Amino acid sequence: MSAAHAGGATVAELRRVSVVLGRGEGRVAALNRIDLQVAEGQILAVVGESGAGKSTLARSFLRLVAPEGGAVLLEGADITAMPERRLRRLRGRMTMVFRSPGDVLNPRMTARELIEEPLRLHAPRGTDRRAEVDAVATRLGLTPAELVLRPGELSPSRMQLVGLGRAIVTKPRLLVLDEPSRDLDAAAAADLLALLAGLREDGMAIVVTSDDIANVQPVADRIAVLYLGEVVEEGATADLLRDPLHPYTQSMLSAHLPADPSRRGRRIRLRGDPPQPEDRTPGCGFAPRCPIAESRCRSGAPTPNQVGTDRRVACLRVLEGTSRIPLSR
Amino acid sequence: MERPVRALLRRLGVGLFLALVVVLTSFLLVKLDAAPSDVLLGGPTPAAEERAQLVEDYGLDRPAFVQFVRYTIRVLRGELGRSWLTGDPVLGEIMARIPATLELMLYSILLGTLIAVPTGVAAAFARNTAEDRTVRGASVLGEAMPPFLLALLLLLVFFRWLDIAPAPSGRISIVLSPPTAVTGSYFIDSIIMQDSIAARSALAQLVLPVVTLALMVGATLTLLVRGAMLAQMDAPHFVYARAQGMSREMLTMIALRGALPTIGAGLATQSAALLGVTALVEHVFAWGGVGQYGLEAMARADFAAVQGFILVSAAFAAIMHLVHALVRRIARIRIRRA
Repeated sequence: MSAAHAGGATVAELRRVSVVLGRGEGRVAALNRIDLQVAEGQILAVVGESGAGKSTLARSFLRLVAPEGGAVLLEGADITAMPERRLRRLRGRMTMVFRSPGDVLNPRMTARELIEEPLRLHAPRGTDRRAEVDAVATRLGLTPAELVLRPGELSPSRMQLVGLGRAIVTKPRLLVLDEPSRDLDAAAAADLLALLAGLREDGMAIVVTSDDIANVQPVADRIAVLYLGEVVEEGATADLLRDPLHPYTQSMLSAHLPADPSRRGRRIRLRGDPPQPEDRTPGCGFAPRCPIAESRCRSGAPTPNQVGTDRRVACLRVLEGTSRIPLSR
Repeated sequence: MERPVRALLRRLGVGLFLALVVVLTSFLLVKLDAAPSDVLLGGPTPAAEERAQLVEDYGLDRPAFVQFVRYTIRVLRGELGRSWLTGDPVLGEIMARIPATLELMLYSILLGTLIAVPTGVAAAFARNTAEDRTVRGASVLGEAMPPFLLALLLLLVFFRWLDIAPAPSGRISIVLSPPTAVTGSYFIDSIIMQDSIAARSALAQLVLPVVTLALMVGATLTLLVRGAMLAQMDAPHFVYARAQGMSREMLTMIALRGALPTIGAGLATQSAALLGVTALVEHVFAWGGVGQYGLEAMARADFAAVQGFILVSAAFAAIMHLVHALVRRIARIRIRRA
């Protein structure tokens, strides 16, 4: 674990967290020994394909799923085995924005009532809830006219803002957003990122997941790349984008058009389909699709290795410096 | 035509068809035996004129199809024949026993639901813990237990050993006379007649049979409630509510609201099938209801009575499903309005 993270004290941490979903025949390892932390005033982006375990990871930070192994920490306190009754009191300090707000917001409540509800649960007696809601609405750019509308009468991007309003009205220390820009158009997604940058200034620790690195890269301080329930690479954003070391990160980044048209990027095309956790083979999870996999990759599973001062990469070839996919034929 | 009306008519149509199948089954019951129908319907030793009367009434000398039509017409007119044992009309005998059975079933369903919903909810919240496993184990045991065995066990403990339950001698103590019939429920009628001694006795007699049936109903229903709750708990809006830090009570209401249709359907199915279980329990407690009547008729080869019992059971099941369908429809209309 690097101590060189930007920002201050660690707010939330996953320590070797493994999560198994389903039961009996349907048991699948959704997350495998995840090590991640996020500090105050820091935005951690978690990127990966659908099925990589992003939502489970997001929920793990808030102890909405019970890990099979490892520990979940909030502000230094171990909440792994904390009973739901006690967790409930912390839920104003760690909040979440779910993807598809239309599925989770109560259709009968107005935007104002929705944003106010967490205050009813968590704010101390005597709080001026109306003023708090107004302050949040102003910050998010929700107009008074919108506050009397119900979710069905709002556009997806405005609905998502109501979801964000609910999540920040209790002034949490940790804010987790699960694919918040999924239903948003490009302009609304950019606005959302600007809002997140503002919340970071308040000292909030923010975790945001996305299937598209472009959606989060502009504001992310650190990026963790998730593949098949494992963090295959993690590092500071600029550093990781400049020199991606894991073959999967390289292929993922090569799928984007380069910002500089003169630097024509070569697309690394992966063989096979995005994997499902139930098809996990022994060895490195990425080996079946990796262009530079060797026979040892299929037998021994790599553990995340510290590379340099501030990067972790789970690839057997990274230690020899041969994990870069050659771009010449 | 309005959609609800059409749907209801269609349901009635299906119901009529099913009713015909039931009547046919009941009709064939007498035909399946090698012995001639008049002998079966007239008891083991029918007199010659009795046999002649039966042949005349049912058209037993005519082709089977004609016999079936005649039988159907008789059923429609409420003529279910006479029991050879008592010589009384079967319909009257059954009607006189329906209140006893209904009372038993109603209380059992109520008590069973009162047991099952909180237990199932608690098990769902405690998913895969020791508490959950205990509930599941007990429920499976309850489902597997034959009703008469459970009834006998309860009698053994509470009547024989602890001596706090009354003897299984029917609906009221044998030294008391039943209250004047108003609703048909001895307990309620005693209260109406302001006879506290009779009321207390009627209530005491109800306890063990109702507990037996409630445990049977509750066992199956608990698993159903648990499953329906778990399905709701995986839904996004429930996880969201949890993330919000809502209290256990609020979360229960949210999940229960979504689970209600499933629970209602299960309850209806169970109630419809409850008469068979009730029959065995009635027998043990000498309850004197429809179920016991049907069982004894089978044991004595009282064919007219058995036929009557089949028809009444089917009618009861049909009514239960119809009530369920109506409740669902009303609930759906309310949801649409909201």
